[in-house]
Amino acid sequence: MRNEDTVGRVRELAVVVRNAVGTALWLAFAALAWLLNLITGLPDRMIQGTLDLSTDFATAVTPAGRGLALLVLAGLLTLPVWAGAPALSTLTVTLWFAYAALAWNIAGGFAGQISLGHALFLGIGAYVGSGVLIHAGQNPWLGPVLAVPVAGAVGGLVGWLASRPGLSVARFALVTAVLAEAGRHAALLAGPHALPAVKGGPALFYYLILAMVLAALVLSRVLQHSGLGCRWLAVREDAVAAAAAGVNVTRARASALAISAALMAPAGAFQACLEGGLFPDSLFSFTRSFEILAIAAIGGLGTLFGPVLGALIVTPIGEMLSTLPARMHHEMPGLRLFCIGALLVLVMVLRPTGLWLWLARRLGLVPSPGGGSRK
Amino acid sequence: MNTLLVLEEVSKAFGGVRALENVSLSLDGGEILAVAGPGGVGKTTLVDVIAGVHRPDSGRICFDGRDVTGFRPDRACAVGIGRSFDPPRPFGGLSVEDGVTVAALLREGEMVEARRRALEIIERLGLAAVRGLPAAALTMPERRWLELARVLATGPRLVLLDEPLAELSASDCQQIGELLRALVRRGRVGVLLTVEDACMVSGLTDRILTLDHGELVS
Repeated sequence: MRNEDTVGRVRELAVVVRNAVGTALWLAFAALAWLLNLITGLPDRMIQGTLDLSTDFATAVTPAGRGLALLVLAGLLTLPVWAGAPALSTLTVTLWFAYAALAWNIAGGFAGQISLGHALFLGIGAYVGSGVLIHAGQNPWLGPVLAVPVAGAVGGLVGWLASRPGLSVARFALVTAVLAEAGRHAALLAGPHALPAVKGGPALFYYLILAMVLAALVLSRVLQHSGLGCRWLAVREDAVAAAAAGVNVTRARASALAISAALMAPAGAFQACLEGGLFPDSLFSFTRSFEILAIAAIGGLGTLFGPVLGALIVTPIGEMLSTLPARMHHEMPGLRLFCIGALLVLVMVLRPTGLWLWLARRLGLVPSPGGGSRK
Repeated sequence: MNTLLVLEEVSKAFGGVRALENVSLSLDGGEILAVAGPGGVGKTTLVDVIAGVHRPDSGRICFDGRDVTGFRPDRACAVGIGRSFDPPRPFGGLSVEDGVTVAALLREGEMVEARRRALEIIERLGLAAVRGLPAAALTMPERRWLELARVLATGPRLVLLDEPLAELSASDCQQIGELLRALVRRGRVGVLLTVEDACMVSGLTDRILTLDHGELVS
């Protein structure tokens, strides 16, 4: 009897959750309208951003840096041709983390909103994306597109909450972590769910995530040099002074988190496809949020290429560490996370601005700064 | 003369400490008003209350014939109340140019125009040589000028300057004085500034009010 009671209660809760999801969808349409309003002319700006990035590349980078960048890009573009299946899978995961860290960096790096719960937006992306796939037909591309405004709306709401007076950086981080946990428990009610396999081999996934990383890079460049990005930086530096200079702090914070969250959604849908199903413990996991944050911080908060560099360093090492003990017939759960944490602490102590700025200068990829000193 | 700012019986207390006590004053366009008094008498609170950082406990603040009591700081700035901070609050990690551009974005929607306006002001205020430096690298006088640049970039009609002359050389003070005179010449803009020592501004301002433990004494 008791068991049936519990089952009934869980079913009721599931209905509540479903209604909530319906409401969220309506909110998402409102958010979509707002986002469209915000990013009118986005294609133009993306083209302009690509041009600007090429100009940066031609003017602000040393020949050594240019050579290395072209080499890396050529290597990445031809990877499926010459690399084996394990390398391709590792690189796919690496690029996934690079993309997620780039998305996180928009809120955490540009606007200074250190989120410990970005897995929430991954989970939303995966569930909305797959929900469309399961219930409304078999097109795997439609879901992630619809998931973008849903995650964006939730992100905007969280960002708005975060700008309530008195919510400090630390409290904001805690709130996001708790919200991601709440998301995980809500998803656990629905339980794990297998997904029909998406057609296409590992190469398709690889090129898809590579394109997403490049697009996120261009978008970051566009935002960094836009009026919105300029306001984010000011709010990050000093919210009181920014408000005195006429910046609407609430709107700046909400928009940063909305855009960051919206970008996380496709990554969530991608992850679900890669794992072949919806697994709440993996999608909404705190570990995942932490890894993304750590990668962005190790590479360099608020820098353009830092998150990519962070992923290139951290993820392959992490993958190695999680397979190594098994090969040596030792179970060492948590070794990977321990090492990432240790690396993060090390970087934060020795190079608080992250590895990218330091490495780029050290290797002579960018000219050493003359602007830091007075004439 | 057009009345720009009117404070009616404005009071503000923090816990048990009365920072402002029934302060009433008015400021006309074209006027430079100094509020003098030693540290801790409520000068910064006066600026904060007008600029919307704190909502007054009682009283009314009218700007340009409009009740602006309890406006949020960014709204106050948008209606034309620009303020500077003491100690200065530069956006330490941003370059001087970017910091002023943020303020210029309030009136210029497009980034290109905002940057042009910011560069104009930077040039006019003699910060051109340091415009690419992170604001954290500036000296104290440069920080005072940067505060001023950011206020002017928002296109204010009421300029609130908290201790704009502190720790500045005589020639810097004179230059700021000339700048403010030029600013109010056409009678559209009014300036309210605070100083510790009334002697500092005797030649510069039209009127000097003295603040003593939250109360105005003239």
